[in-house]
Amino acid sequence: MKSSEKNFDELIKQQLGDIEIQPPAPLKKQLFGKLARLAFFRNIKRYSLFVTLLLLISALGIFSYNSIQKTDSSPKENNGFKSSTYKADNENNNTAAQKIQDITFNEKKSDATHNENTSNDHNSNNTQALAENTTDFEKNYKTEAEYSAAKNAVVPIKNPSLKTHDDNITSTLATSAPGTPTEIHAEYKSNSTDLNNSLAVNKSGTTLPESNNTTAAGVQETNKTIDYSANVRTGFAISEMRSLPGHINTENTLKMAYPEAPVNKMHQPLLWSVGLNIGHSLMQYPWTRLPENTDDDNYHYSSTLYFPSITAGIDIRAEKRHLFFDAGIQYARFTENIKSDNILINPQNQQFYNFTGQTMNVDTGGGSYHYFWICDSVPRLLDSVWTWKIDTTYLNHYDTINTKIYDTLNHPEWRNSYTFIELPLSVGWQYNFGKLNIGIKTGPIMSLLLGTKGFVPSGRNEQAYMNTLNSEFKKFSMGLSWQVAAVVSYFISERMLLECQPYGRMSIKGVSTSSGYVMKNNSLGITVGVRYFF
Amino acid sequence: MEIKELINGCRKWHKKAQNELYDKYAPKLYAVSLRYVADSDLARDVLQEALIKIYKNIGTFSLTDDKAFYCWMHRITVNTALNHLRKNLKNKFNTEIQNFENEIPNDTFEESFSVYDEIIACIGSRTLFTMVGELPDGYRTVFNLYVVEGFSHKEIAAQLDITINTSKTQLFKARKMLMSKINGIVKNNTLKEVV
Repeated sequence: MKSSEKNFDELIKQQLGDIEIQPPAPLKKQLFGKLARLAFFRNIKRYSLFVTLLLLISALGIFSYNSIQKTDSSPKENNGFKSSTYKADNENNNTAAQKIQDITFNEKKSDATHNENTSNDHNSNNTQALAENTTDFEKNYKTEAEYSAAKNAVVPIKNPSLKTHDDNITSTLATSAPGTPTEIHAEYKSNSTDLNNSLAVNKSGTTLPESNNTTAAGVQETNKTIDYSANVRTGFAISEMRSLPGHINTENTLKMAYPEAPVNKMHQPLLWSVGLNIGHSLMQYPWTRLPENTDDDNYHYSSTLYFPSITAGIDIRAEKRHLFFDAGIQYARFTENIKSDNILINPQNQQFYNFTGQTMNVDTGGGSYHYFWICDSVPRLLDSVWTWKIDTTYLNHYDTINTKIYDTLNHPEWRNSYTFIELPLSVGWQYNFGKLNIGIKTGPIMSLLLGTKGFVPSGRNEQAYMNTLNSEFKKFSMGLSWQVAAVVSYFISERMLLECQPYGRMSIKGVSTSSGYVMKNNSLGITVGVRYFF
Repeated sequence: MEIKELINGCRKWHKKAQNELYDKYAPKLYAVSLRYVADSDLARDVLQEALIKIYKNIGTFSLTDDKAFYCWMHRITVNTALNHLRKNLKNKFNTEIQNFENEIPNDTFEESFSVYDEIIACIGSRTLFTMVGELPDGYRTVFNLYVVEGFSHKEIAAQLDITINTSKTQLFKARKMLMSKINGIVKNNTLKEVV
């Protein structure tokens, strides 16, 4: 009964095993619609890391830029000052930006220069005019801090005889805040001959003394740059009033003009430059970790750098003082030379027969078993059957051993190359030593795989096949790596410098394939290039 | 397209490869899902779910042998069908035995199973397929797993969360019921016409 049941089951199995029924037509449409949606979300998931990173970096860049702009914006509030002669302080030209900022403005007598006006009469209308301008002045102080600074400005007084006037003026300023310096100036054009110090205004409108001017007190004023802060403006306003005829002597005037002004600070604009560079790896780790076999079939791979492993690109740099941001695009092509000892490929299952002294290997690939007989001492094939339908009663006559045979590649050597378009972003810091700048920069590099050339052995153990790289790595796959580079640059002219950047890059996310290969760029190299400042 | 290319194409989500895989294997897999889930709408759902699993996970399939690949897809389809049955037909495996106890005729063939050799051959696979599909869900599932897939009762019990004895009983009943159906065809002389 049991065997009959088995037979019955076998009959059913044979009948049902290979049956095919065409699925309804709408299923295909429905399925592929769903697959398209899945592919879409898969792509989103795949690139979300890069998009997030890009957004993050963009946000950081915008934030930094805004912060810089914000600090720069305050001098623009006051346009009342006319420019005078200004030369950037040599002490502060540390970076390329500062180097190039040795901008000389057209020399011009400032409106702030006082002409002859030695009248000692104090015109009370002037004070009233100041009071009228109070509101405008308040408006010009954007922040409360600036306003309070203006209010609290301390005016040193040397001439006791003028104390009353000074008090009046100071109190007017303190309580109601005077008008803008320009307006003050317009109201009180004095032509004091004692006041020979022509006032200089820096690029942003900040007043400062012209270099090498000697004050009435005999004090040598050096090139000074003055921070354009509320205190300074207030100081200037006060000094203007004090230089009114008959009220303030010149000695006091200059001292009061810069009461607490910090020196050696200047406004620097964001400086833009473009760089062209070319680089080559000096050392690189194997790009793809190839499957090695350390069992009976020992083989391993060694990868070495090969020419060309180059990058060539263009980048734009925005820099401010010591800090700079780089963003660029570069073409990269990396090559590696792969060597191995013997690789066994294309495994085939065979059976080893020993016919009374004669041996024979028979291919059993595809699951066939072969029956033989010996005729005239030659083994001849009788029949081939599926391995699971072997009649074992015939097998006892022969000693059969299953073996696996391979094709052998003797010491193969080949080259793989990988081509990318890369988007490097970096932030850096540099310091100037004369014409030489030295710094460091770091940032991510997004790599878009354009193509590959070469081979990879497929299969972890025995099933080794040499696959082409193109079939393994999908075109336009994205990878991410992080780069740290030293920046050494040398000015060859006012606007141009030569750059040399030794770098090290480490893969964060390699380009991977479904069969398990991951392509990673871990390398050390050097780039050289030129940079031009606009 | 060779099987290796087909698999690689599907790994890369190439539509052409996916389309070809569907055309090549969907009829076989649909038959598998219909064997487990008799209802054609449900079978369609099972096949769709199974194919999506196949397309999504084809990257994890490392072999490039046609037979191994089909076995893998077949296994996924069977598992999906079983999941579906487990979800929708909870406890049916136990209750159905009693329900169908009386439906099994006592006059099934007592003689040797060997007489079915010719009969089954004459019936043809389509009719037999329909007959298996008409078996109750519990019977059909165990019958398919044991007879067609070649699982042991222990494995079936583990997969369906039933006891080994239940599996054995279901198989026994399924066989008897199937035989009675074949017997019915013979009795109605329909087979003679076929022969």
